[in-house]
Amino acid sequence: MNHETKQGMPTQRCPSDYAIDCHVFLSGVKDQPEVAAHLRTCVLCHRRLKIALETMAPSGVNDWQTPKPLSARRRYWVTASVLVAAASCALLVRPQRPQSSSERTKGGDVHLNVIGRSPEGRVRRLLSGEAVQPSERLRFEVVGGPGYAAVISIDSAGVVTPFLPAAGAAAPLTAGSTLLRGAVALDEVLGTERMLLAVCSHAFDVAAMVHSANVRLDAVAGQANDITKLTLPGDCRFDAFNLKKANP
Amino acid sequence: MEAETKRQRLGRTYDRFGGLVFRRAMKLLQDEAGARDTCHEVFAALLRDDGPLNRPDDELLAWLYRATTNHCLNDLRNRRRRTALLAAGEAPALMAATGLPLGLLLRGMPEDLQPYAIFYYIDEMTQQEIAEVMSVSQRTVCGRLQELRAFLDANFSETKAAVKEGKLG
Repeated sequence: MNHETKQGMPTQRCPSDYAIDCHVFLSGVKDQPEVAAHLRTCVLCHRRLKIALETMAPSGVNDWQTPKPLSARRRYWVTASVLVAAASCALLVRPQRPQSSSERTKGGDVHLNVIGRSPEGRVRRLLSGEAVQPSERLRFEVVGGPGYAAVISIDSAGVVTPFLPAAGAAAPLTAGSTLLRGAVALDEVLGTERMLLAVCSHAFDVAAMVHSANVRLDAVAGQANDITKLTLPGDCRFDAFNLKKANP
Repeated sequence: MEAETKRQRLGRTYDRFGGLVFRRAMKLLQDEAGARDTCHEVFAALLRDDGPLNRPDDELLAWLYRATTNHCLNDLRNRRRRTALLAAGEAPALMAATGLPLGLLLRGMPEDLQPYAIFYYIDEMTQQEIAEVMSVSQRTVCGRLQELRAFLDANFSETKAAVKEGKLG
């Protein structure tokens, strides 16, 4: 822990940057309850946590390998391949139902599909941003396996709830799409409900995902729509899905 | 999961930890261009040798801390950023202990002690945290910190006098 220093600097009780980074990046792998407790009460460290969460990698740095110039023969084949690919796309592209980018956030190549069953028994595939009513039952289909998946929800009151699995370890996925076992019933809290899907290469605990969502929610001042990814162990991909809960 | 290529894995690691490396380099170098260079170098090193990418997350994070610090120290030794570091007031604990900025104290300090000086005085890490990042035992850290204090004690008065006379910095 830090030494006492001048005003505005970390005090003796404040964790180091390394401890905060472990808290952010190793949630569920290396838990530090004393650091978590400190971050909940120290305004200064909360600001440090926010900086740790929000600092982005500089763009362009990942172009670390300079492409070599193509030979004339290779240029010909690359050009030909691009033309063939473009022609194929033109033939294959189908018009799709428009979806607001502000409502749906795709993270990598995983996809969350939500199937709703209204209290009257009507079953349908839901679109992100669509209106639903309390007590509607939901099931989740995950596209993008294999791996391990969990779905959590952040309601309009800022409460984070594990949906599926409700507790324990994330659900294993098979290759392609998987319909998660079980269903959830929406509660009475009205407003926008944001669901986050995480698909990770390694098994993880749903509690770690909930914890990470709470940390992230604090960092974005409760704006759940700003959350597109969470910090979980292993390589993870995310997708988000919003529903507007209103009384019929 | 299907086997990822090294480049895909590196890309994911960059997306996840690139901000951490950049933030740490900014703290040590106080210079955005230098921090970008450091970020580039650290991840380029992973492209050449992906051993750390295959380690558990806690070991990978410790490796990134260590690699970033070492790269920043190399940069500082090359004196490209020395002016920036001398102007930085980022080491209050060190200033309190010695009355001198780190930029001066690194001059003449054995290279193998320099990361410990950074972790202990700039980052104010615990001995256990330093042991994790340096991948050594806590006993080793304790010994290195004793050497560091001995170095500071031996050189403190001389350096301070040199600063007063305007011979350094």
